[in-house]
Amino acid sequence: MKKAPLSRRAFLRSAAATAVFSIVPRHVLGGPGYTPPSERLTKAIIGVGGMGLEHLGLGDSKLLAVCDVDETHLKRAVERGGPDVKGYRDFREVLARPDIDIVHIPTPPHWHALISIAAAEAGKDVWCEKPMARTIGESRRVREVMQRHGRIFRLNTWFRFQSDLYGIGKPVQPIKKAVMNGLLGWPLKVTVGAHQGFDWKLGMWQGRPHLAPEPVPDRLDYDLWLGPAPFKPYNAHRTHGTFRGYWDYDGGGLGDMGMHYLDPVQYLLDKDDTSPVEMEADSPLQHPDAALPWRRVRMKYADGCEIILDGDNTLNQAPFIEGPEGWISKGFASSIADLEQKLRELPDPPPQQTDFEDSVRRRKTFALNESNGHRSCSLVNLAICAVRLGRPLRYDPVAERFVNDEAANRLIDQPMRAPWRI
Amino acid sequence: MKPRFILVHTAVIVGMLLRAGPVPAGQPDVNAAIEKMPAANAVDAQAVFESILQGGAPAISAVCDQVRAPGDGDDHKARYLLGGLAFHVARSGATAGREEFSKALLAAIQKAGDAGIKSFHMGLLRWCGGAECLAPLSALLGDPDLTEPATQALLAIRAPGTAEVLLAALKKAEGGPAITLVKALGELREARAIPLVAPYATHADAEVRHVALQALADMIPARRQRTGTGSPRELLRAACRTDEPLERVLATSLLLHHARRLAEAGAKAEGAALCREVLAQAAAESPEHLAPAALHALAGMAGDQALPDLIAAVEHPNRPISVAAMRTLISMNRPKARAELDRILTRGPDHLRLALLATLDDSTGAAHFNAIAANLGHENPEVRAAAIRAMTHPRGLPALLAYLKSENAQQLPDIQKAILTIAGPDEMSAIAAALAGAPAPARTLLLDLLGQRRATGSFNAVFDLTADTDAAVRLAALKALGGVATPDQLPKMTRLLLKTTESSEQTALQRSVIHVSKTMPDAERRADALLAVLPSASPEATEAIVGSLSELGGPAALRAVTEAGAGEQENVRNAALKSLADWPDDSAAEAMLQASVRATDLTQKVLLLRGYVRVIRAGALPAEEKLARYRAALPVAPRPEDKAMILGALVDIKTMDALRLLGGHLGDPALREQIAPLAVIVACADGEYKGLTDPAARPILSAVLEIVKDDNVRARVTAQLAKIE
Repeated sequence: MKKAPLSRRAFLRSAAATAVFSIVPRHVLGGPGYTPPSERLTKAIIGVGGMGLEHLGLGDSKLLAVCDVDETHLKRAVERGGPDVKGYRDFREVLARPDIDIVHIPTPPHWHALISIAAAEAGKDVWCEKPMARTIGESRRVREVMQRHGRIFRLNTWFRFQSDLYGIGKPVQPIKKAVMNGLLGWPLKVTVGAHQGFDWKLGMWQGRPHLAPEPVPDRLDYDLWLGPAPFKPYNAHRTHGTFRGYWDYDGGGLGDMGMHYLDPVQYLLDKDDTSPVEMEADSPLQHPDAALPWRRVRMKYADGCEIILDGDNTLNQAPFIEGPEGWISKGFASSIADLEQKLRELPDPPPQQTDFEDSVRRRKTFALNESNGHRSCSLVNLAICAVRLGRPLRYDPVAERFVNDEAANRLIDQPMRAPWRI
Repeated sequence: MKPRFILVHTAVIVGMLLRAGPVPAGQPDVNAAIEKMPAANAVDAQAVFESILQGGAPAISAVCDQVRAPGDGDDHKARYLLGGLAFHVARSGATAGREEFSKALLAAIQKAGDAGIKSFHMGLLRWCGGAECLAPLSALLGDPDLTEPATQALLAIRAPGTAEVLLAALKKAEGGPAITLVKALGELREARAIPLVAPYATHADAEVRHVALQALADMIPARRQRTGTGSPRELLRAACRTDEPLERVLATSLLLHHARRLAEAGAKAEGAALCREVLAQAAAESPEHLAPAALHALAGMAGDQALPDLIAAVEHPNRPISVAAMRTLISMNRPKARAELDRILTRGPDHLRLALLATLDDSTGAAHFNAIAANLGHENPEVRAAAIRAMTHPRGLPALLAYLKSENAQQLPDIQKAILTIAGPDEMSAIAAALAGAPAPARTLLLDLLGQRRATGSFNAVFDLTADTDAAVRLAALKALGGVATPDQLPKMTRLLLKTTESSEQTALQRSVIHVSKTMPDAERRADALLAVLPSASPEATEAIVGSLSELGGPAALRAVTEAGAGEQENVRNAALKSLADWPDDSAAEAMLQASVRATDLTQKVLLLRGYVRVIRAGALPAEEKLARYRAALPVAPRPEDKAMILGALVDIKTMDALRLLGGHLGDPALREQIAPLAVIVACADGEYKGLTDPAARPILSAVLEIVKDDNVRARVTAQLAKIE
């Protein structure tokens, strides 16, 4: 292969450059922990509404561009970003910039897969908000493209590697340790609801079954906001802050909290490369447009492990995780005597790669990536399918198709509105 | 509910009823069915669905008729019902009902005048439509307002003949609808559309060009039409030569996509040739980031024949390309690929070894175990550290332990992390055995591991090292005893404690003794081991022991601390009083109060009082008893803030007696500002607590009202006063 002349970015990423830096200590270059400006990664944020503003402070990379289809959001983000930050309305213009290394995607979820894929094809690494995608087909495609293009991808949920796991009051690692060393036995049942310390926020993120059309505000490019979603007349409730309540853009409380809650469960159950085979929901009839509260979702893996989502908060006796040998629940209460002492004697879970910028520099897969992220996002989308269809479903986790249910399979792959396509 | 909404809502319902008219005999009451929406559960919903389906097309149409144009009233219940029906009829084995429902939707689409209503019904056909939809939906493709929803429904249904109707529509379409159709034909990989799509590949609008190129990338014509002007390959190649950077990147990506489609169609050699074309282009100029995708595709198409390309790419100075080549070699899992990876690990330059070790760490290094282990002896510490991280699987333990024994063993934190990931109870004997002959830093690490893992079978090995000649090893051994010892080994440890004179070692061993003592099931006996050696302990050791007895508790320990607190030796006395102030339960309350009375040092007096209040509050005494204890402590409090601290505990006791005690201090200028809010908490309602309504509370609350200034607090007091007769 002919060797190419190195651009700035290529130089920064080159193995040869790394070898040089490994010989010259970083503190010699610029003091302890100092990142010389020329070595600093750069980023753009696409979607700078509520959550997008949070992304201004995420990571150590230098912000160069922000993008939004709402002028108000864009103006605010440019002001907060500082003098080096340029604003864009169309994300494709951002992807065209060769000086941007990482693209953050805190848009509504109906854009996640499309922009992630376009970013990967444009040679960017991706920090994407949860949920990874709005359908199983979309997140599967993101996984394919990321791996094919050798891009680094992370999802913006983190409970599999840091922070206390909501009501459990401890990080997930001690529970993982108990599970992987067989203290709870097998198979396991995990219950996720308010009594275990996980609030599904179903009331907060419900859509309105009847929306009267409203004039589109001048500041908003509604057509670009909708993007691949089917056209529906504008109503403010469809968009900023409340979009989660509509199936076309997200999945209600499941969309908001699902990956936060279920990705650690998938990690605990060691199911990063598979999905449940059965799922069933107990729910009032769902509206075709608006996502509404549900009572219960049960998902079962081929080996008998189960995940129960308690939407109406009635499972007040169920532990968070239980097996034939014991259970662990809210506040790390457990049926196992001296659990913490026992855990000390057992091997730790394998270490995880939790520094995204280091992942980008060293091209090392991030802890929550396109592969396990696709599977945990599938948990969310399988639950959504069960809630929407209102009947028991069977799923083939290898083919990633529902068994003998055409309507369910049509929820996996949904056509996008032209010109958008993945 | 707003009157205007009620009016509109009522008008809509009345209108619906008038339109519906009387229910014909044998027909379901559609309006009643709609009013049951949303059904509370699946059983109720299915009952409604079945009733509608039993009514056949007339009943379904009657529901469809109640869907309103956007902005023309509230039809959400009808939409609930139709949405539910669309999924219900599409369940397995419901063919007849599905087709009838689908046809009724098609009739409703034809009947409706509004595009919004038509779009809604077409949206439902996405879930339940079948071949019967093909002709009716194709008739809508020419309507610019309906091309998109009709195409989406057709794409979701994918009935035989879909490509033909889209092709026919594209021949007549222009503008936005044409783009929709081009995109759809691409998704269907319809090669017959190539001549129709090709002109859009050079359209003036970049977005249109991209849609066309995306579609062409999916279309594989017959062999003789695969090259030459107008072929997808040539159109994509032409697009790759544009000066516009993003468009060039995306077009190149699409050329690769086309290569994959060629391979899927059986033309693997053609696909591989295109991959190499992109690879060469990516290596020579931008977009170099597409090289990983080209390598990935090439490996899938060419197998072993792609090895030279991959091996060359491993050496590429661009790290993403190099790492992608490594990943592809790993995923190929072929003997030649494995041999090449082993060659890099054993003979490659440092930067390639580092990258590969990190990549193997991501996946599994088991297939390359020996080659990875060889890097433990590498001269570059970064390579050694990467090798250690790649060895975190059970086979790695012997190699890591052997490496620890070598004189140049470094990266101890990395080794420790790796071993903690591998080692459980079954591996502890191997770790203890490795102590012998290991250099001092390695022994320190191993001792720490044994302690962390509570390797009780290693007590003797660890205890022996408490006499090691190396101070760091001795200290590590003393610390590790806290993990590896059991209560029956406490006497041996406490005898050692009496002999230990070096301060840090004494502290470490004492901590270990306490740690092991705490594992004793009988809480009252936990201090026995330390108390047993107290009479023969030096003054320094006595000070340390009595200072730590509060961590263990129990009556014997309390007696020892109380006595020491009244002793002659100042250091021991101070340590004992501090220990007393930290006592874990209210068994020490009286001793604390008496010691506080006797204490002449203000700090000691206050600490003991705080300890007293802490244990009383946390204890299980009845409320009136607690109140009496607090009352007894008040005269001992040396300063107003100490009195306030004691009175602060009264917020747990919401009784008139507590309020009276607080009220008694409202006149004290030094305390009134602090006491008034406490009285509010005790006396005023909050949540489920109803507050005190005894008339005796009135003057106290009135006095509180004179003191508090916050409006919200004053409102609470006033509200409570209103409840008092």
